[in-house]
Amino acid sequence: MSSVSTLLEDRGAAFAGYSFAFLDDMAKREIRRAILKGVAIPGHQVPFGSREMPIARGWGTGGLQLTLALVGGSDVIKVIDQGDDASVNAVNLRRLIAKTTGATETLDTAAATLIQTRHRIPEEVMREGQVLILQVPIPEPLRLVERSVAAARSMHAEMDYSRMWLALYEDIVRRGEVSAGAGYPVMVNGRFVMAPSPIPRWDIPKLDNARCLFLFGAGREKRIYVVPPFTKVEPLEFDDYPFDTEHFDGKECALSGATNAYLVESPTEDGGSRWTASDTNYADKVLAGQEVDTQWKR
Amino acid sequence: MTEPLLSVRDIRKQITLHILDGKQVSPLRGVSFDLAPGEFLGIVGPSGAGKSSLIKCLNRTYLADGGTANYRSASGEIVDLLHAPERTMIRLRRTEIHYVSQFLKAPPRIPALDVVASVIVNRGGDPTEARARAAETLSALGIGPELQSSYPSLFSGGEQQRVNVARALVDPPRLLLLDEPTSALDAENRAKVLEIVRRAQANGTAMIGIFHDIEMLQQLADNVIVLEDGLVTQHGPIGSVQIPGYIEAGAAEFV
Amino acid sequence: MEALTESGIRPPDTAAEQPLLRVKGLTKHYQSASGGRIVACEDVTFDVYPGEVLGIVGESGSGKSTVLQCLFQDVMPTSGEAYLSSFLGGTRNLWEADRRERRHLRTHDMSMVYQNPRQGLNLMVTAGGNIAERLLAAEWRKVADIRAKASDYLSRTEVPLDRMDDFPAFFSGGMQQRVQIAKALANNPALVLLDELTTGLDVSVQAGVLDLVRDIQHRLGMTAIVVSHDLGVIRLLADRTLVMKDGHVVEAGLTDQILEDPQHPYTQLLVNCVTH
Repeated sequence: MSSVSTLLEDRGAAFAGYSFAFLDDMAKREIRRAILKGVAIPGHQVPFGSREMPIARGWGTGGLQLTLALVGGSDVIKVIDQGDDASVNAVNLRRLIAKTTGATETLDTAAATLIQTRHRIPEEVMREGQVLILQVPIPEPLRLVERSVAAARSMHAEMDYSRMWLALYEDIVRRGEVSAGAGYPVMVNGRFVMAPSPIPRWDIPKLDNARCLFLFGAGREKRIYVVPPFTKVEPLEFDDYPFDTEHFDGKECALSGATNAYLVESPTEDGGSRWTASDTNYADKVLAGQEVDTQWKR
Repeated sequence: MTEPLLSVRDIRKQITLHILDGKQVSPLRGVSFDLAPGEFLGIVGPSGAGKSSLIKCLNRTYLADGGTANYRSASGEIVDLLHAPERTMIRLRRTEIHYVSQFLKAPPRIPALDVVASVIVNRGGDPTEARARAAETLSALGIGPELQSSYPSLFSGGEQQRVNVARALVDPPRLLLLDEPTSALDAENRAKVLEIVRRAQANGTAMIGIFHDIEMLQQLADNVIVLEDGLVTQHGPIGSVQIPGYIEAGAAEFV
Repeated sequence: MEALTESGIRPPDTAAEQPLLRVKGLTKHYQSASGGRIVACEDVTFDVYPGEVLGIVGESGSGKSTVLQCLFQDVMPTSGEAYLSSFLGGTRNLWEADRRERRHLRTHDMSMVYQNPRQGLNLMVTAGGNIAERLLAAEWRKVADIRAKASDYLSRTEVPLDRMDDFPAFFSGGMQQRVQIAKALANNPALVLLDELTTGLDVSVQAGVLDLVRDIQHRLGMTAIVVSHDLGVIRLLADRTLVMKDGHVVEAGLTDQILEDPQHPYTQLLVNCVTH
């Protein structure tokens, strides 16, 4: 496409000579195939040949490869790091994607077509056609109970999750509750136990029966997995110890006054602390008095 | 003439002692007899004549090398005790054939009362009722409540023998095999055993018994077999058989 | 249960009695380092009937433990067939089951008590959790129910309930073995495999563990295979016994017959070693 080379020229000499969206076509094709397989088998980890990226492994290379394999020149992209569009890492990733593709950058959840994220799902409900790409450090939910990758794979194949359940039981016995905070294990489509990436419990219910597509990419571990739209996603829970999200007991965001949001505590100069919404775009919208739909579950 | 309860034909038993360079002994060389329902058949003979071997073959504790022992079971089926499947023997032993050895082989660390009660429980009886009947039987044999709650392994030989008899007669079986069950008992306790065996007889239990004690034999046995060197030398009503002298001499050793 | 006759006595007819487990021609060969063939067990055939305890006796290396390992799917045999009536209606050779069926076999139909509790227990999972594992595999999803059931099994095996949430790593050998037995009872398996369960325990502790197994057998009518080199254990627990030597069954019979009238030279030696 001639428009591509034009765009690359426009974006400056630094990216001349690179492929569109940085990755070569073969790499993109492999990743797209892995995504398609992931869509066909929700929650199943699909291996892929994770490429070297211009950022270090552990900094979102899995998510970035998924984004680059899917992004087109007309996409509108947003990158968030723990809910924040303005962190150094988020900004750099967003610039890299935009500069190598000509895609439009945005901070607005509603406006984005592709959102790459670390550790959060936006508060604002995502709709059909939107894609959320989650960066994943440890894709194997059974890692804690089974060190062998091969053994864990056959446990998934046989749906042998009794040791996962045992770990939850032991947690309840020792701590009175399931202690997993971020990355609470979920059952996808009644078949595969999946690590939802280190999102807070607050975000877990958003995965269930959502309208958008969730993609998960682990660059270091070379795994891709998918929760397609309208897929059943349930946290593992005992009948008498039901799953519960974090509670903020009437606290509100110190900046925006938002109440229906995941809040994080940060120290203040006077030695105290304050609570603010971790989703900065959501906080901005609340502050601006916009109506924001946060009802993921309907 | 009623059908015999047990019809023994030509039982042979040979033992090859491999650890003694294959030395062979033949305790039974062709023994035959019939036992009527409710009959008490005494077996006498010198030591080494094959008396215990005969009883053990009928219980399948020994494997016979030849012959048959057709037993008519409670359900009317004829079972060859020498060749029936092991599972059949296990079931018959639990329900209708009981073997009393000279020495008690009770499982360790179980009170005497439960050792005896387990016979009934294993036949599907109610545990509480089983214990009541066990207590009654043990008391009748002179094993009082204090002993009933202790382990038989701590008992004297005579007390152990009475626990053994109690096991056999707490719920009298159809066929009782007795291998010198009173050898360690004094006259008083032998009388108690005599009394309880008679009750079982009255109840219809058929018995084959080895006794050294001629008095016991005379009071209990309908018929007697004299075994010598693995063969039957005499068989007939107790009054008609010449009891060899060694029987009473043998009894004297124990009294 | 078979029907009782009017006299309250079970009929002796065995035609109606079907074995719970049928093993035919079980053979396991290993390759030696030099490429030769090592026979662990060869052409082992036997049945186990509901409610009975079958003993397998022999010295170490006789192949008796291999038989259990093959049955529990720890080791796959070279050849042979085994059918368990509770497993897929007794129609599937245990050694032709697929992985998922084999797991079901191990968590529902059978259980194994290993000589070394380390093999049968996860020592860094609580005693209750070890039992919970089998219940969780059977899709129990209520913590209160799981704990009630685990308490039940632990009290049956005389493990103090205040140790339920402790790690077996810190238990005595006898207590570990009791937890292993409690775990083996969870889900009421049709068949329990006991491999040298008292070997390595102090004599006084051995007695307690044996009493426990015997008591459970009497009360629950457990069907079991007991493997031991110790004729005392076999005498106490087994109705019928197989004698194994060099991978072969050299003699089989009622346990008291094996002990009092051993036929095979090896069994005669074994029995005499005990008596003297």
